[in-house]
Amino acid sequence: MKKSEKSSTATVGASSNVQVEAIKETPNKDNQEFLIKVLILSVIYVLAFSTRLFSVLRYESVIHEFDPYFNYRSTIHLVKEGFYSFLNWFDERSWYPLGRIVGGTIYPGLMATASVVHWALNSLNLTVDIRNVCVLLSPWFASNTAMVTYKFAKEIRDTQTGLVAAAMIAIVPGYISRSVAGSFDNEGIAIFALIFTYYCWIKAVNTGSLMWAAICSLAYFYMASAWGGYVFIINLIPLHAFFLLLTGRYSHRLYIAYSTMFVMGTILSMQINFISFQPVQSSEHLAAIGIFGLLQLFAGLQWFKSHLTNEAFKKLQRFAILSVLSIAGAILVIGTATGYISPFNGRFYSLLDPTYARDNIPIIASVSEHQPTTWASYFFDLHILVFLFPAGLYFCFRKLTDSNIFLILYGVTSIYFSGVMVRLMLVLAPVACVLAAVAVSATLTTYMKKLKAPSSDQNNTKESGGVMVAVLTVLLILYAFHCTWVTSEAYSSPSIVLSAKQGDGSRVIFDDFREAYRWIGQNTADDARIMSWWDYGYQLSAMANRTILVDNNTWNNSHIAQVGKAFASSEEDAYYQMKALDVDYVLVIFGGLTGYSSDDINKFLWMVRIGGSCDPTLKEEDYLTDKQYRIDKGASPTMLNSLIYKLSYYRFSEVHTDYQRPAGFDRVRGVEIGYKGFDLTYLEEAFTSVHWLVRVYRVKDFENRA
Amino acid sequence: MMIKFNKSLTLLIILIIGLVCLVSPAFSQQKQAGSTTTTRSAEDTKLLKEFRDLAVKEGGIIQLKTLTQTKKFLQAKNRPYEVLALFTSSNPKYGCAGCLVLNYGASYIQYLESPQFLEKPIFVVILEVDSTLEFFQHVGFNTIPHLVFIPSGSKPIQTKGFTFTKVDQATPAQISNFILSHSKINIEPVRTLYEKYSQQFFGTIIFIASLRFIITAYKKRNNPMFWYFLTILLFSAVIMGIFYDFIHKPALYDYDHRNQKYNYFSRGSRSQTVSEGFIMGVSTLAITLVFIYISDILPNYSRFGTKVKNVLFFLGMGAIISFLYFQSIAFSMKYYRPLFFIPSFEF
Repeated sequence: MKKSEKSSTATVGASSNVQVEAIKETPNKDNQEFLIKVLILSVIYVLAFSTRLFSVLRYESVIHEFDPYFNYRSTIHLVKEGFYSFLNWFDERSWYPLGRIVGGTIYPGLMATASVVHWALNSLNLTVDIRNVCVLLSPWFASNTAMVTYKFAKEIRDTQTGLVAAAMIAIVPGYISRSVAGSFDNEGIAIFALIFTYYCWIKAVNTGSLMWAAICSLAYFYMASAWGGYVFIINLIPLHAFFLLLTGRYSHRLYIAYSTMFVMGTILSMQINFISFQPVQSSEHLAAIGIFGLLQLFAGLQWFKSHLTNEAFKKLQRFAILSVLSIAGAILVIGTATGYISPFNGRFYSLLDPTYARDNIPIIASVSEHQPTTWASYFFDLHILVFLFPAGLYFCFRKLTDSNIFLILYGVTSIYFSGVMVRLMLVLAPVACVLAAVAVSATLTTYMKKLKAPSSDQNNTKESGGVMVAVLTVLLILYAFHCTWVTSEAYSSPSIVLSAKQGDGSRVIFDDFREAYRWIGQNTADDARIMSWWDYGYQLSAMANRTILVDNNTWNNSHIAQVGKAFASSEEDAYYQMKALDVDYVLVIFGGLTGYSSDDINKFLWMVRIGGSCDPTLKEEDYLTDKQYRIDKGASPTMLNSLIYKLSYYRFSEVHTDYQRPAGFDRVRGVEIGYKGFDLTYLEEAFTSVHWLVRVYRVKDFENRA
Repeated sequence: MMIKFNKSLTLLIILIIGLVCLVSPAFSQQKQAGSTTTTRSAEDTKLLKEFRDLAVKEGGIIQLKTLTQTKKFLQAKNRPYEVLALFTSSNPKYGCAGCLVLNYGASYIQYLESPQFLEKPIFVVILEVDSTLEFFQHVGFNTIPHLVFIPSGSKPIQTKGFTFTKVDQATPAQISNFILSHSKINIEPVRTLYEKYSQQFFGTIIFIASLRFIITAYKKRNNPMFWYFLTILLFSAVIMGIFYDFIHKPALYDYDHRNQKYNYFSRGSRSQTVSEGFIMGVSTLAITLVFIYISDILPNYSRFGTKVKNVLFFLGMGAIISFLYFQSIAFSMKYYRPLFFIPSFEF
């Protein structure tokens, strides 16, 4: 007996020693894991930033595209004049003669962020130029997005998923397209704000913490200050709350999270001038208000339930639901009829009805980023995520939790929206990364177990484990290659400076845009008014510092229609229209010599359509031959005599573009132009850039009546 | 009395005006009909009769087999008829299998036999490259097929503004509209049984399917995998580019006129045909489902032994790799680079 006691004591002693060792080992293991985690996240942070620098290395530190030029100009104004002056800024140099109230028509979050970073750096005696801050802001925020995505995925599933998601989002092309260096646009910071808001929301729902709900509303406020896409948040969160109610997952955690977030978030978002009273007046926000009311009703009924008999509760429930629905319906009808509740705006409507913009709003349909997405775009922007995305959804459906339901809703809504508008691939990319990470993480967990399990286990074969791990590793490596290639080749071109590869592999640079804007800035009167198609408005006002008629803000369709009509009219008619608008110079973009396909001739039919939306006499078929858009001899006479044709092809018949091709051969359209050797009567050529990409014409004065 | 007189006078005037109005259109029509018959010379009438007899003999659409015949009917001075001419070839060496398909005989024959025909005559002819090459050159065609409207009169044949685009996909209704837009001849297109009732047929099927779906959805509302199935359907539709198809209405497939062959994949990176979207959507779905099977379902399935599981795993993995390879090839058609490749970088 004693022996056995002794032995048992010895066993206990041995096991306690093992435990002590295990306890000693656990912190070490935890520390190791923590260090590895920090190391991986650091690499991801640096990678997300550095992969976006291709454009800076290849060209220079320059602002890209079109909208970023306005943001850059506004940021300079904010830095120089201060925040209040910025909010009250009336820009008389755009939308001549209307002007634009800038403070009330923008989301100031981007400019405010850039100026705060600029101020902070300069306060630390790091004298970084505001341009460089603007150029590098998006890559920096992309690194932050990767970190927030890690937290978001970790909160939903586990650390491994978080790490994979962070690595994927750091390089996913769908997000890189809007966050390379120089892409100083709202989306650059908005995706960070979006994911951060969702992370806080999930945290608030999981914990029921007031603090997290309050942080969530602050994140939402930041998002609302940065991008119009905040409407996506204020609809997705209510949708999540609604589905939780529907699936019987109502909890006090949800009540606290939603009520706090909705009330604080709404009040905060209303502080943005551009948003103003929209959260309580526009149709886009009604769902959030409705769910708030529904939650109060549900919570109230739950309380009554504990104090009433079953029968009495059912009566009360019926009465309450009917009354609330009737009152809400009446408010909706009266509000809509009286105009207090505004209808959906065009962009939002075109998301619900994809054909709406095509049929009703040419100004929205004309923008290339508003086009519906083809399969090739998905593969280009998401690569392996395309098939891992639905696999991730499967794992979420298999184990439904509050946060998994949110991820499912986010995935489903964003895949739908991305299908309608290629621009919204940006919203899909983060959730595609998280869902793909769920799939990769779950699969690796399963198959790594097989690899680690002892060989004696008959139900286990290591081969399948090895193959699965190897295949996934190869796919992830190819994903990294693809992302880097896409970033380098497709998304790092600044648009303002073009480049092309020559036969020997060397690059030739076309710097015509900056050359032309500089010429305008130095050779025209300070108050000269320049007419161009709206695409170039922001660049003109930011780089040439001249007054423009229309720009990329596209807030006034009829004003853009007037410009479209002038370009579509004959030279004589256009002259009087331009004189009525006080136009001094006309700028056109022409790619016929270089092969640049995004020129005004290729955009011309949109000018006609938009012009025709205000003036029914302007008909698209007048510019077509047998429903074909042509500029050769077969082109319609209206087309050949239009202002845009004349300004694009003036003196072009003197030029030989290709060997063994006739003079006046257009390299974009691949044909010889149909109308040659004409003269201009009412305009005169003022400037043509080296590669003829930008052509500027002076509008002549009226002839002396005497 | 005066008032009474005025009233009857007014009524009389109205009656006269009314009668004139009733009579005048008939009169003018008669005059017009008279004028068409009177302006047509004996020579023209003979040519018209000859051409019509040929059409009746050939069962509607005429195959002009010789250059002489072609010139005689199509280049006649003051032609008293309109012509719809299909420039094409049935010779396999041109590789244009779909070029001879002009699905219009049934619609046209009714008009040919109708009494209106002589008032507004129109003939549908087919011209072969091999037998009328000179005529092709005269018109200026280097490619086939082309469907050209040749108006009556003596004017030479014009292609600009008189050519129908996308001949290979033309429906009888589109050809009738084309004729109507160039002349005042309205030929009622004859619709097939499918064209007549397809809308009702598919409407009923969709209604029954919707009803069935609602019942199934209600029964399976507590099953997460049912909702996953619906999610996957939406995903597949989006990946197929269904919104692009709705908005831009692309062709089912492309026809390469230069090489004269059908392509399921369009060349443009920002465009797609309906068929390519479908192919890529289905193959993506296949990869996803196989991946789910081998990553989660198969390892947790206890009924199979290790060997069977291994076989199924490797079959699944083989299928995934094959599909990915196929997608890579398809992607290379769009971006000239395969989806799965190791690129080289340079600054």
